[in-house]
Amino acid sequence: MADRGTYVDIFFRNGLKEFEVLPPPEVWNNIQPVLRKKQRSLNILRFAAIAAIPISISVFSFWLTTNISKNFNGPSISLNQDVIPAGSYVFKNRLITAPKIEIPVISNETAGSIIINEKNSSEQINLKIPSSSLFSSFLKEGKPRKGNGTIVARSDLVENSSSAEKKYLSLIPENSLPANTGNVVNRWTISALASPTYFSSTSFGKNDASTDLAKNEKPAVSYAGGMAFSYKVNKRISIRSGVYYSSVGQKITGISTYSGFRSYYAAKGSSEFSLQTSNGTIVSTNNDIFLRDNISGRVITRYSSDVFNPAKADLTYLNNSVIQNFNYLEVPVVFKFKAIDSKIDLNLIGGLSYNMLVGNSASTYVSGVKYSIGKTEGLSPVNFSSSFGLGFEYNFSGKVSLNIEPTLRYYLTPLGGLVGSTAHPYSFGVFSGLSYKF
Amino acid sequence: MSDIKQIILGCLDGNRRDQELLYRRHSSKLFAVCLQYSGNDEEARDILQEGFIKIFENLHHYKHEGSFEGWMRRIVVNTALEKFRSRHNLYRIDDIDTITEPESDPDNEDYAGLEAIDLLYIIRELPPKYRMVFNLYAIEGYSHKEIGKMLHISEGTSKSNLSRARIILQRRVGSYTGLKKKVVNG
Repeated sequence: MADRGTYVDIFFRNGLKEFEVLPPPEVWNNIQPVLRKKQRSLNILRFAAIAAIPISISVFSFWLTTNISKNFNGPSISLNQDVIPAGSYVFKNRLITAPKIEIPVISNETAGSIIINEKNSSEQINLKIPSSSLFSSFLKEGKPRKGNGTIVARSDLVENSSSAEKKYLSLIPENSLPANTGNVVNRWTISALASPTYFSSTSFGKNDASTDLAKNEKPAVSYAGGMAFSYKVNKRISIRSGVYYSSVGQKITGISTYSGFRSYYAAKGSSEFSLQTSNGTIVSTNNDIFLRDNISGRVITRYSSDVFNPAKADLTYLNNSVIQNFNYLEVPVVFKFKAIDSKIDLNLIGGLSYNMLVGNSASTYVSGVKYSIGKTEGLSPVNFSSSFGLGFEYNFSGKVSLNIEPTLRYYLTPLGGLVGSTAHPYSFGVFSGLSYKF
Repeated sequence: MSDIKQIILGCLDGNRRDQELLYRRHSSKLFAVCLQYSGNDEEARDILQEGFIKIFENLHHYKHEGSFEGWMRRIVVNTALEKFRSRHNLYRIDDIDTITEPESDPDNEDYAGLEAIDLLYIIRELPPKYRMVFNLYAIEGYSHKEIGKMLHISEGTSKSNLSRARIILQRRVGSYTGLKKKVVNG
């Protein structure tokens, strides 16, 4: 039998070895547009990637130039001791009214550190101008100005100065600097932020059911965005809240979907298909759709493979996956801690969010056409999530800034799920947007 | 640099002329493979179309080691497998099923009169599950263990399906040859 079988194998293998059949021309005609479309997308991505490199380098270089390079090659001023009689003086375009005291004055600008020669003393004090951006701006224009353009009070300037700078400031008449900023402090900020997000879920403990289901659930296109208000509690800490809309989803693979089931539905009555997922059970509401699980027993239906064959029933095959979507309105309460206060601020962000379910759907797509399947049942109407991230804030001016915030969000409560399921979703997104201070 | 290497590099650069050249050179052979794995011409066209799109998308993965034609063939066969898995449910066949011996002895059969197109028709008349196992084992050279993993069936089921496919093929070859002789001899 084996020899005969082998003979048949060899006979067919050799017989078909050099066999060729010219395919119909429409095959190539169908392939071409797909390749062009992909090429276009690829070109856009390439262009974006190439453009991102010089932009990133430029931004980084600018930041280095404004914040770091001065440490090494910045301008420095040599200060010599002198006796200044009482009266009014112009100090860096600023009028100073001073009693007759001995204060250091700027005599020239040379390379190197700032040197103060105190009277009757050979002591020299080195002032590194960029050690404090406030002090630097004070020396340049006579006003201690923050990176975002806000003028600060003398006390803030002194507080943020080195000991050598403090010594210098102590010699400057108090009334030559504002006791307070004189400017209105912009405590409120309105921001608009949006981000595409990567959504997935994780199972903790030994919950085999949710782990097995999660194996065939892949991330789908998700996004989030909204408006938020921030209140600046002090110069380091601010609190933010607002309203966000998020659409998160996942792709459930290994589920064959067919259309054209309506005629069978009409004939046989109820045709509910239930599809178990780690976040709940999808129940079909579209009676034209037929579902079949190719991997395990996730689809519960009376039309099992032994009683109904979609191929024989001439149903139209649509896809091998189902997209499950959840839409939420989110009210976050987030704390921001300003770790670096400069032209580009660095904030540490963390908080909680109260999320209200406003919609959910299950569908499949064929060549961009959406076929609705049904809805997920068993979802919690509300859930809580926590978020952690970094915030980069580039100040265009004192009022407007660009925000980029890579954020990781972890859902403290499951979206829904099956009995015993403890699948906790998480998402990662890089939120970007603009802020306006007022 | 070899001719095919230049064409591949051109395709990777998005050169349409090279893409079409690659398709024209290999589509006939790969379409024959698609016909062998499919139950009808429409399905074969779909497999070829999807297969070629995958080939173009994954060209950067080809390491220029081994046969390029073999690499393309594997992609097309995998595409056919995906289609098959999505369309058909495989029924487990007990390994202890009695396999009926063929009525005719293939050693005495006259196979010489059959052409490739005849063989294709005979293969396509097989039930889908038998056709898949026979193609993967006899034509592509996969083991029963590998076929079991590909089709989500046991090794025993794969062996059983192959035996049944061989029996059917032997019978069909016999009847086909006889029919051809009758036509030729009038």
